[in-house]
Amino acid sequence: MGTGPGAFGGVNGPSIIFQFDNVPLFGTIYITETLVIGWIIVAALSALVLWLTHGMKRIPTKKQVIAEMLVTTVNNMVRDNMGPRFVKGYAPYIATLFSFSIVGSLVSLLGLRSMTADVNATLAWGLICFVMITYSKFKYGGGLKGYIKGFAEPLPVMFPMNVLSEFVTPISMGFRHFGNIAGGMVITGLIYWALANLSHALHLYFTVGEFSLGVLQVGIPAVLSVYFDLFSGFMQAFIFSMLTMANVGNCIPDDKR
Amino acid sequence: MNFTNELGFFQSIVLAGSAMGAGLAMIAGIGPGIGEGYAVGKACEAIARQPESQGDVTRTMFIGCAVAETTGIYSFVVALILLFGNPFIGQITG
Amino acid sequence: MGNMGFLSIDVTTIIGTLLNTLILFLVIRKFLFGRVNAILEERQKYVETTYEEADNAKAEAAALEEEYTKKLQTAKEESAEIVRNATQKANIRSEEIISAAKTEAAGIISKANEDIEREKKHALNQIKDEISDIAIAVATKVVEKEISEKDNEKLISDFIANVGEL
Repeated sequence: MGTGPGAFGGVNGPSIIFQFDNVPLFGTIYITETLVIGWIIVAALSALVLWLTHGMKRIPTKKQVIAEMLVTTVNNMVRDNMGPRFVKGYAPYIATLFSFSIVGSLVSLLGLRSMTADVNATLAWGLICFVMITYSKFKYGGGLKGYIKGFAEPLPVMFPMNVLSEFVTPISMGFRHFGNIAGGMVITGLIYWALANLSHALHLYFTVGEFSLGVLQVGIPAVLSVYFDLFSGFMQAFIFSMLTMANVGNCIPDDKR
Repeated sequence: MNFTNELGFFQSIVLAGSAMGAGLAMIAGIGPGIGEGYAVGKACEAIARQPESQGDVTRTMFIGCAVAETTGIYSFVVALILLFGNPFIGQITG
Repeated sequence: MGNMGFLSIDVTTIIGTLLNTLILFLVIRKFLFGRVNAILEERQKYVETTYEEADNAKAEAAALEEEYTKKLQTAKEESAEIVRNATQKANIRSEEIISAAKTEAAGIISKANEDIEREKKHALNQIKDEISDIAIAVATKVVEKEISEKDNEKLISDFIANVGEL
């Protein structure tokens, strides 16, 4: 839109890194910052996982204790929220979601754009959750008939509302995560921008070539970033995982858990 | 923005309206604020009554807060759309 | 290259994120969870077997102890039995010895008595003989007259009877 880089605190969508024109069926394909950062995170987390679990022994080393603690924590969380039968299937996904989300939010501390500040990334996870919910409802609700019947509860009048809420669930989850992280990014960006302008107004700035840094821009945004990046990023990752487990777990009757 | 012609005039009206709309949309932030404050207060009461259940109460409270926050996030997203992804400005064609 | 819109939905990004999530999921499932769960299971099995072995060893030790206690008990009982038997035997033996000694002593005493009695009789008989001799001599001297053989004998036997009452 009309906002160029720098204007309005640099509030922008993810930048486009590559662009493939005239791809059949798709038209133009944009490889955005989100995807590239996602690849970096996947590579980094895979390397971390491989390093943590390399050369496991019966008597654990320090890094093995960390790996075991992570696995046990996620296993227990899934067991508490979904039941012991689903630990093996769902625990790795919950761990993936949590680690991807938290690292995706916290890359902003390294000066990169948060991956989760792109609505497409969070919507993708919401879609996965939607697929899981639908699958569970089909499997444990008695096939297609039970699936459709499930919407007419507790009253048949509620049918459209239930269908709507079914589709709103993943969108709401995606937008919640996106909104929190993007909101933090926008507010941090605006404050950064405001501090830059304030520094210029007070003539407290250094200029090196085209790059200029206001004195007030140093330090103050870091305090805000503790809340908006660290706390919010952690909370949203946790809440997204918990909501995925709760939403899928609610579709499973108690005796099947 | 070019304010000298008629198109620019309408654009400025749309932009002003969008900005006001974004501000008005954020009024919805009141609801989650009150609701979450109430929830956290109740959680504090629960923890004061049963300090041993702090972990469970805190976890449940955060999830409840996240759900209660949804409306506020919706309004925030609407405000963001109005500010950064304005769908109305493109409709003004001469 | 420019930017995407702040809220634009981009199918490529969604599909790309899904693929990223899938890859990370596979890596985490295969390596983190697969390996850690395997090692946890292995450790649990190891601990279980160790505990089982320890329990077995404990039970074995308890059995052995019981056996030893039992053996000790029997040994004690046996020794007590032996001692008792020995004591009993010794008692019987001593009693036997004592009774034998008593019998012997009694035999000796009775034999001595018999000897005394015999000696006494012998002595009495000798005395009788001597007395009769003396009496005959006295009588022959006192009764210088001839008396019949019958009277003589009667006189002697009366005399002897009188002497026997002494």
